Amino acid sequence: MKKRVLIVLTALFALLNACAEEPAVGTSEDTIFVYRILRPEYQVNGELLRPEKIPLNGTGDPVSQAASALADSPKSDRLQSPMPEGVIIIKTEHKENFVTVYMNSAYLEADAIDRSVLDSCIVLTMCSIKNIDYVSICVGNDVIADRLTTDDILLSNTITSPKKAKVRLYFPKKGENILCSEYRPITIDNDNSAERRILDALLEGPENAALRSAFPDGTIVLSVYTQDGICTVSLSGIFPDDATKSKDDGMLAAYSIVNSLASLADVQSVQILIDGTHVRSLWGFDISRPLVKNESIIGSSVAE
Amino acid sequence: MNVLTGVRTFSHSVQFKFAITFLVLIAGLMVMLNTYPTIVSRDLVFNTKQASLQSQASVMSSALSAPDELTSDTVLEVMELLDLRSLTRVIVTDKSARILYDTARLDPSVGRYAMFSEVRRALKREIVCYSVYDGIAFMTCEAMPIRNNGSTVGAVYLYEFDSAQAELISNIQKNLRNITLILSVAAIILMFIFSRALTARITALAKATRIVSEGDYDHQIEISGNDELSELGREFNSLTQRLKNTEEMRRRFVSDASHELKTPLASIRLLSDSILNSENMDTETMRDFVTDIGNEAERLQRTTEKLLSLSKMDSGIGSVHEKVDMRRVAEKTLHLLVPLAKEYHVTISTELQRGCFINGSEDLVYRIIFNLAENAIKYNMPGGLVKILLFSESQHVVLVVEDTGIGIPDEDIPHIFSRFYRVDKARSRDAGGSGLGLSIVYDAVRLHSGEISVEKREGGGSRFIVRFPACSDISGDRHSES
Repeated sequence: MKKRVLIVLTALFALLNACAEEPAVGTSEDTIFVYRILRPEYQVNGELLRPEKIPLNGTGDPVSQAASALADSPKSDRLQSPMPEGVIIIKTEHKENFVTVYMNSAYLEADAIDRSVLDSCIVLTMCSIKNIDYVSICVGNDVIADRLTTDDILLSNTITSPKKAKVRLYFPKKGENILCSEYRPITIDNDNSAERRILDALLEGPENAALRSAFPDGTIVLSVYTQDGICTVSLSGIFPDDATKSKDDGMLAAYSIVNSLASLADVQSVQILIDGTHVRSLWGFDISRPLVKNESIIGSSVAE
Repeated sequence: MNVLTGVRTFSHSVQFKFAITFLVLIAGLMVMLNTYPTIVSRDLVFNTKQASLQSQASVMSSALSAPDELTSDTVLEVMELLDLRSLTRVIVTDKSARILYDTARLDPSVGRYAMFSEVRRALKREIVCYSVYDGIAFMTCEAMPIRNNGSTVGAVYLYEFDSAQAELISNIQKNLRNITLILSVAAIILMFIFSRALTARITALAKATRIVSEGDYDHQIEISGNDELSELGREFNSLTQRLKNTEEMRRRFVSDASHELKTPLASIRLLSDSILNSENMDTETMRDFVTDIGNEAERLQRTTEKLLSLSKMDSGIGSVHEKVDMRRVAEKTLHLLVPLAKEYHVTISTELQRGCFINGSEDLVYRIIFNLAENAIKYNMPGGLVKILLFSESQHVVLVVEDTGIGIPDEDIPHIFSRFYRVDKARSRDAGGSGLGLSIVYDAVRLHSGEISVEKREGGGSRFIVRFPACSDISGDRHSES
């Protein structure tokens, strides 16, 4: 009899727990990732910065909430604050997808590396807020770091071996005309070049829910090869005159390929062909000539 | 659980225990063989790798400390002079961890911030160096600050992925595993054979014990070799032989005893029947017959008394713990035998030393002397001599009884102490002997921890020599006090 009561109680407790945990899962709109420094004893395999998930207060401004969360001490004992002594965030300004963070003058006296670590934590934290892509750091009227994105920060050594690495793939961000990167491990061998692996992964689509695929389903790569720094990609299953697509879609699709392939040291520019022939435009965007990497349309994304 | 006698489950057998012991030993050795060399060679590679990366990092760091300002261009200029082919990735950063130079072919990250713990620690003036081995490759990481005029201006980060050394180690490991496998199989087979052979011999011994315990005293074990088990086998065989002898003696004793008791009983019955059956027997004859019946009954009584005292000695009753003055007992005993000596026309001569004490029972000592002297008188020639000597010799008291009689034939000497053994059967019975006298002597001497021996006397006759351990004064006093 006692046993049965115990089982019922346990089940009830489990149910209550499950209910209690439900809201915490939430969406990225309700939470932000606040980045901090891992204490040296927990730094394994080069990991230096680690996020802490903080729920947002629905009524307040998420950017100022992120700024105060950064100033707070971390909840986990494994983490320590990235703020050097005496440095404080005076205020934040928020315009569309652009955040400016104003620091006090103590910031200028801090070590260069401590400043970089703090900058990185600020950028990663701010960009974990939905629709924030760029962060500038200012002291007074001086802009110390301009238009930083998460793409400017390399969190770990992405190269495992000469044949195996994590590379950045660029996908359009949902609801915006910018590209954001996502890391994807690729392995190259004699049959599959790095270019081929990158394009295959690109056409598979993004894993990050905030990003979307630039190409319609059924798009395939006919061939890809690099010569004299120009990588020639021939796509198929795509209609360059598709009326449902805009010029911006064309630009994002083209640069998602160009920026991703330009991650390779050998690739300076990319020539896109459709079904093996040169076309004037992809959905109205000019692809007749080789394109070089476009840094200006790169925004921020934070892995969830 | 109904387990038949002698049938054991395998898990309880000696073979199983041997097997388990050996297996544990072999397993331990194999684990050692498989881990130790790998660990040692891995650590060796770690050390070499770290030393090599450290020296390369030092070269880079000092080369890069030369330019006044670290920029992508100045770094590139320096790095082009160095051989970096063995390294998987080399990163050079400025003091803010911004990457100035990156050898990665996949996604080189010049212009980005290297937020690795190694880089940060290097920029904090630390030298970082570690190796990881995941079974497929050695991954070694080295980070070192670049100093210029005492201040840290940047950092170099070196990463090496080496699968060749790892392959070498994994090949060694594979070979070791194969060797281990072969050795283990060989060891297990050998162990089974050896333990089987060993336990087969033990089983044979157990089987032989069972056979003997069932009464087959002729069973012997075949013995080969010269180890402990062979020794055990030999002991077993000699034990069986002794058991056989004892059993034979016991059988003969029972049969002899019943025979000894039967003869006087038969005589008594015959005589009494004769009295009853003859109707007009004269008083004289009847008196003779009744006297004979009396004699026979007396003989019967003597025999049973002797048997009783033998069995008493067998069961250790009347054990010995008093100080006995041998001289006094001998004198008393011989005094009693004077009439018998006269009857047989034998002279008794004595040489009895003073101060011969032993620890024992006066009664038994009396019997020893009496029986030996009685035999010496009875089996002597008329006009013969019985010589009795008593003296102490180092730690012993020695009693010698000599006669000038007919002597004991050689073939009888080994048996004279056996119960009911008679050398000259007719003469013995005439002399009123029961064949138990010497047995009693023998047992009594043994009970005193003494020794008895018999030898031929020069010029005919026999000499019995009894040797008792002498009584030490201290223990003697204590016994006499108690």
